[in-house]
Amino acid sequence: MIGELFILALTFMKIGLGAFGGGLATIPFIHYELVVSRPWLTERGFAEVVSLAQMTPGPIAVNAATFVGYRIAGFAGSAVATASVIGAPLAVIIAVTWLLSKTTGRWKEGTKKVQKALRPVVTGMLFTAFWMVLRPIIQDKRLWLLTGGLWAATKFPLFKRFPQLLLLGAGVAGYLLF
Amino acid sequence: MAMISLFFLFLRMGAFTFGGGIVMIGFLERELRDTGRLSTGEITDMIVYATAFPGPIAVNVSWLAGKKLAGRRGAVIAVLGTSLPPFLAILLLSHFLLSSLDTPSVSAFFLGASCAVAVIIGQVVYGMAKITVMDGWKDFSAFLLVVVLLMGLKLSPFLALGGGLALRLALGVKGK
Repeated sequence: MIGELFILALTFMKIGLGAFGGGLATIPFIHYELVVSRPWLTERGFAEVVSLAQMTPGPIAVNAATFVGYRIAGFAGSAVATASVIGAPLAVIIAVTWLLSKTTGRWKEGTKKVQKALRPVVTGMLFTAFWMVLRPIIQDKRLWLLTGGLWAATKFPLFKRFPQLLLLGAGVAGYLLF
Repeated sequence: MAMISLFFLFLRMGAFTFGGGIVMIGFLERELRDTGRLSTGEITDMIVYATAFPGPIAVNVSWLAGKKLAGRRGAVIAVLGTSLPPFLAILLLSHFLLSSLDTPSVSAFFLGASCAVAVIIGQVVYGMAKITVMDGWKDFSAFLLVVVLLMGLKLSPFLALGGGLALRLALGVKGK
């Protein structure tokens, strides 16, 4: 039990430290740590976690931590994994903001440069995440239709404001069709 | 700002920000800038810090905003407030889902939902690509390197991130 909690903590600290550029860009890290490096999720389980995270509030890395932590080691696991995915990057930000407050404006300029340089990198992460989700869909023609229909539905302001409605609708459509 | 109202402000933010950090920034502007608690410049600085360093943007921004509003204790309260709703939501769901995840109806539901996820990510990628990758060869090279390292060579995302960042910085980033 203690060993499992330790590995959970380590894995989710890593995921937290890779979470640059916001929720969806974390998907390749989550996939690598939970599907490739550890046998904690199957490809299908991974797709389900991603969908689930989009339907519930909060960053996907936090959602994945709670879900996988619970599955591996119950409530203690979910608490440890969630605290790790939040705590590790917070430690970095605390250290860096402290350092920045001790130094001059040049460091702040440096931070801005890094942020700008990260943009195309994050886009690459997002593109890979897109491919990971799209790959299973490509194999089934019925899913092409559903995806096309959903793409058209995003033109409606209602779905633009509440993307989780789009997910729920798509889920219900999946339930009725397949 | 009283700790208890700080906690509930971030609790609300945690509960209603579907779709991640970017949505949260709009919420922050309404709740904190428009009420005069934070200035536009302070919020812009927070966004730069939250996106230049690792960690979920929502959590990072909560820490920075909480600290600005009520010191280190405020920061801890703010992070707890933002994190609690997603934690409880998934905890409740996993409790019920774990027993039914393998039934055909639940997996059909998730198969359908994954199409919507693809659409949402696709539109985010397209939006990001328009302002970065299609904007110049330097950004495009860094993007391409990340994609090749990740999808082509199947390397660890940490290597891809480091490689892409190093290349983009080496090509030179304009100040300002």
